[in-house]
Amino acid sequence: MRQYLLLIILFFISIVFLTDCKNSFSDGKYLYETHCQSCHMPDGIGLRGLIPPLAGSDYLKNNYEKLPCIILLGVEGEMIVNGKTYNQPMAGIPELGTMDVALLINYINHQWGNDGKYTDFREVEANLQKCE
Amino acid sequence: MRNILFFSLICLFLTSCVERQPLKILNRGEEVNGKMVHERIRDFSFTNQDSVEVTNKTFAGKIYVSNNFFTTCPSICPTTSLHMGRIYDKFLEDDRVRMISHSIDVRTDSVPILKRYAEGLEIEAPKWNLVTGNEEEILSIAYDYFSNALKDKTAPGGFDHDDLLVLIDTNRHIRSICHGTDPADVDRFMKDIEYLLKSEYSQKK
Ligand code: HEC
Repeated sequence: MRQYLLLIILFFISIVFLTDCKNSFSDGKYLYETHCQSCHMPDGIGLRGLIPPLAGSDYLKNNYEKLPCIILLGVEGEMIVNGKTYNQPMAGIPELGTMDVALLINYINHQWGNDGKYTDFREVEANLQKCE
Repeated sequence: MRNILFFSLICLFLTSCVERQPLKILNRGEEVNGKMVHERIRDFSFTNQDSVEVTNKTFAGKIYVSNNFFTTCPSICPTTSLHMGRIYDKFLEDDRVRMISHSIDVRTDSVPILKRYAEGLEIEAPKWNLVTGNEEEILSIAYDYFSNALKDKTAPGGFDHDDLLVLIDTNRHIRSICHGTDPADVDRFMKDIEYLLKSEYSQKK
């Protein structure tokens, strides 16, 4: 009897975990579609020499800690992504919360074949301290 | 013998289904002395990213694609530019096809800014002209292209405009339209361009 109870509890916990995982990912997708997709495109390819790609971006990989600042405060000036130079200001989206930023980063880091790190809102907050 | 006749009739019927419909003139027409006369794109004069004047003459004997945008537009423009870029790439070698994008934010989008945007898009005039000009003229010619371009403080970027791409024939008539943010619609539009090329340039000589 005890064992059954344990199993049932385990079952429910895993359900909660699984749905939670799926939700946070689809929240990230929603945030991406609302705030980023119009520029970086549905498949993350960017726009020719104007807007850099997120799909397969080496910049994304190498500047992991800068992402929260880029998303909230924007960036400008020359940047090189996958060997190509871009120079068009991106406005930040300051109304996003740190949780949203974490969801977004996790989303773009695991879309379109990207295989980056996972982050959480604590790390986002820590990285925001380092914004220029 | 009967069978063969029947068979060829069916074949004829099938191929006539496959044959596509000609592109109609979409402008309003009126019968004058027994002949249909359609409204046309008006005379215009704008300036492109190389400071070169762009007029109806730029497109004389050509078919062209027209749309509206502005360089700081955050909503639909990047997507529309992406698909205009596909059209540019596809017809790059065919000088019978040209393109014009009117910046409706004439105060911000000076010639040097258009030049930078063109370089970012990796495109060149006279194939694809990014033009500025008299504000009144730019906003009102949108209507000739069945498009909307209005100043609107509440819209993203301060202008309200649509994502239409419009195909003009050698007689300044509109022959096809699509939504520049809808990839499938743009695919269809590119087929219309190919079709118009065939029909426009086979009639003449
Ligand atoms: C209005 C268009 C626009 C929007 C919206 C936008 N970006 Fe950007 N983004 C740009 C441009 C332009 C650059 C290049 C900046 C430069 O040249 O300095 C860029 C650069 C980046 C970079 C670094 C370069 C790269 O490709 O890896 C990241 C990461 C990024 N954006 C993520 C986002 C995310 C996430 C969102 C949504 C929250 C977003 N962007 C929304 C235009 C935009």
